[in-house]
Amino acid sequence: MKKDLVAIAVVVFILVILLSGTKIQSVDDYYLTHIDEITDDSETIYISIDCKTVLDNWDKLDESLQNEKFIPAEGIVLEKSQYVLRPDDNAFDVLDRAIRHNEIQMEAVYSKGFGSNYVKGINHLYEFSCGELSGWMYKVNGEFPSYGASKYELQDGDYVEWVYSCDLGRDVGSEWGAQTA
Amino acid sequence: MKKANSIIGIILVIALIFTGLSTKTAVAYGDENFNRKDIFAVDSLIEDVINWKKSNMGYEVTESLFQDEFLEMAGSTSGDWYAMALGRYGYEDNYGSYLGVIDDYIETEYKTDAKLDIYKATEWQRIGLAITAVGGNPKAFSNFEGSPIDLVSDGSYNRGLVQSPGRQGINGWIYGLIFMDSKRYEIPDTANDTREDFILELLKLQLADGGFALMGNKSDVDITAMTLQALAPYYNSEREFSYVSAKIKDEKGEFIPQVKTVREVVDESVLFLSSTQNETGTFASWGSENSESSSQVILALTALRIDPHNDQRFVKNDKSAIDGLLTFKQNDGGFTHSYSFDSENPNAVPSVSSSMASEQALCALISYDRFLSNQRTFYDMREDFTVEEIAQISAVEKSIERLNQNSTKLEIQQIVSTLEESNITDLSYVNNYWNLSAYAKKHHVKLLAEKEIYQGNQEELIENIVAFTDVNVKQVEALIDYENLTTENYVEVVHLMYLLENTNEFQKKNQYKTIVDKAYNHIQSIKSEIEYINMKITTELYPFSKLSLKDKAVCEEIFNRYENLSQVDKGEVTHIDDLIRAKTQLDNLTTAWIIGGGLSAISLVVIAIVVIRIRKRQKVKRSMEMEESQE
Repeated sequence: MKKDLVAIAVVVFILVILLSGTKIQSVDDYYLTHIDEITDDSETIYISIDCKTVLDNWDKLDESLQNEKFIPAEGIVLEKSQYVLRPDDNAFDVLDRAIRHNEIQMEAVYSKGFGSNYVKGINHLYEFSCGELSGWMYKVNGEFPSYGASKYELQDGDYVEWVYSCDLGRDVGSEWGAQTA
Repeated sequence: MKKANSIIGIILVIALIFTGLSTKTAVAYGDENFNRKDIFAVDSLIEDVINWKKSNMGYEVTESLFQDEFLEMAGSTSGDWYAMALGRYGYEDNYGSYLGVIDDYIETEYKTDAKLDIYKATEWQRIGLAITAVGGNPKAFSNFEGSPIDLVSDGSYNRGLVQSPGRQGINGWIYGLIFMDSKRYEIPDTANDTREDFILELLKLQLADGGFALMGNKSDVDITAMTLQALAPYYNSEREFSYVSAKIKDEKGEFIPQVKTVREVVDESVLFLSSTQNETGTFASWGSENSESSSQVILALTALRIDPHNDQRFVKNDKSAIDGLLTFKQNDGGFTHSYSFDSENPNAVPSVSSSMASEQALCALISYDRFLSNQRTFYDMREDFTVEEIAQISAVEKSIERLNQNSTKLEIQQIVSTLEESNITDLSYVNNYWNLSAYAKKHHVKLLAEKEIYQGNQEELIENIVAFTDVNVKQVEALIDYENLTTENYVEVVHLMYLLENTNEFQKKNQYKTIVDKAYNHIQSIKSEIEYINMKITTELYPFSKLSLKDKAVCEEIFNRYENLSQVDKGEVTHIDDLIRAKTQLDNLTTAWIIGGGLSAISLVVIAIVVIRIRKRQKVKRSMEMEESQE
């Protein structure tokens, strides 16, 4: 009788382990697979991608792109999302991670002259896709940095916005664009 | 110049502009004091920039610039302008390797739908100009479906069949015209756009203040200067163009019709440029003083045969446009973009040379050097003038110089006929021709017919035969060990292919060709393997939360293929960290299944044993009960 009780206790214990979803992992493996998991003490940043300006410039948009597949309703490609800030992350790294994790198309070229990646297209929308003054730009906390995204190192709490401009930045609030307006 | 190529220019170039107060530093050019009247050593300024670029790439100044990492930039803005500049300067370097890499680049890109670019005609134009400057022929270059490619046609007068050259803005027209005029190519009657069309498109975009801009109604120094570089060959043409402005409106809001010669438009633009020059001789674009604006102005003035160091329109407070540019020169030989202080912008820190500022300064200095020796302009890439031709032009200029209010009709007529009988086919090189033109009009002297300026008079192309040296032979022999080849050998292999394609016949040529082709194919297969792995990583791994045991086989396949690459080639795979992460996640999942399965099995066994034991006990109990009842 006593032995049976012990055996039943063992079975219950095993079932608890299995049902509670406890994972059996080494510490390294745990760290590796949970690198992007947001916890109370992780440093994070926010990122969003939008092409709202295209909605106001529909007539200039390349015909092959006049489709909801490329220009989502409201022009939001990626809602403001929170990501873990990894050491040495820059504004391009975070974009690269976000588009991969969300399976969004992107094409970027690394320019040695600038020492930075230049984003040519996101979600099949490219520079010049919507008129001769169109292309992708980025802001951090509302400001347009004056250099390549790969050179902008991020800090805890930063908000990176990738925005598509149809007017050299003026339609997305870039100050330098407004200088000659 | 970079601006010519894309909105990169706009975002990364013009954007390098700071509204903060500039902390201007003193003239950075060494300890020497510049006197405007001095003839200074342009050559050494040019060599300084080239040597800076070499050091910046990590090369010795005695080495070639055209090697490894630099060659990887062939076909991109970071590489082509340097190649073009060196070619125009006649610098000795390994041009064959540059052409080899670009040849393969174009062949690869032409297999895609967009070819060199979906929207930007300037990709053809910049690459084509670089090829021309280093001795290649852009009318028949590389290969597409078995025939040579005509980059001039595809990138300028027939570009409109695919996409308007102006799709990317004014730059497509500017550099399209420059490209067509680089060898004064004849434009076929069947062309989609003629030379006149390109000129008209530019004239239409002139703004009310006389200059040009990417957008808006205020002219920009850089764009104005670039437009002048394109219009310069037509300065001495008397042709009047009738067009409707696309920029200037009358009071009623209607775009106004114009009748102008190129000369009138250019004069207005030159006046605009002159009016924007600062007291230090520099120029500003988008509100910020920067070296690239000076460089573009110098390229424009020298193209127009205006002396950027002595012409009074471009000397302010005794500082010329050349002095202005030199304020940006750094002690390391390169040029800095700007002196405006911005602690966060590495491109604009004072005393730090930037690649783009230096490449544009290099082009400007070389253009100035050509100007000083009365040679063809930077973008006029026809065979250089002979000493006799220069003397002939100079003689005509002197006779025009002697004209004055009292000159007779006969004197003017004489100069016109001397010109007509001379070999001078290109009036744009007669600096003061406008003066002759003015006198001729006043005295009703008929000017000579314009010779071939609009239809082009392309010179015969000399076939480019290159040497195949003992060093090259050794290089070929080293390739036989195919298994050791990596993507690092790519540049060398395409260089050898180019040499074998363009060298004279020799005994072992075909044998070498076979070896090199095999090496090329081997490297291509590595490249496509890398591409496959990168593509698979992008399409198969994300999102991580949805990875299941179904993905294990694919993940392992990618990982094994990655492991089979050489150490060098592994470096070309992007996001290997994500692949390892996915693999770990799946391995852990497998382990979890195994352990879970094991534990479940143990549980089942234990339960079975318990059940058997309980049954056994019940049986014993029952039989005992039966025994009891029998008793």
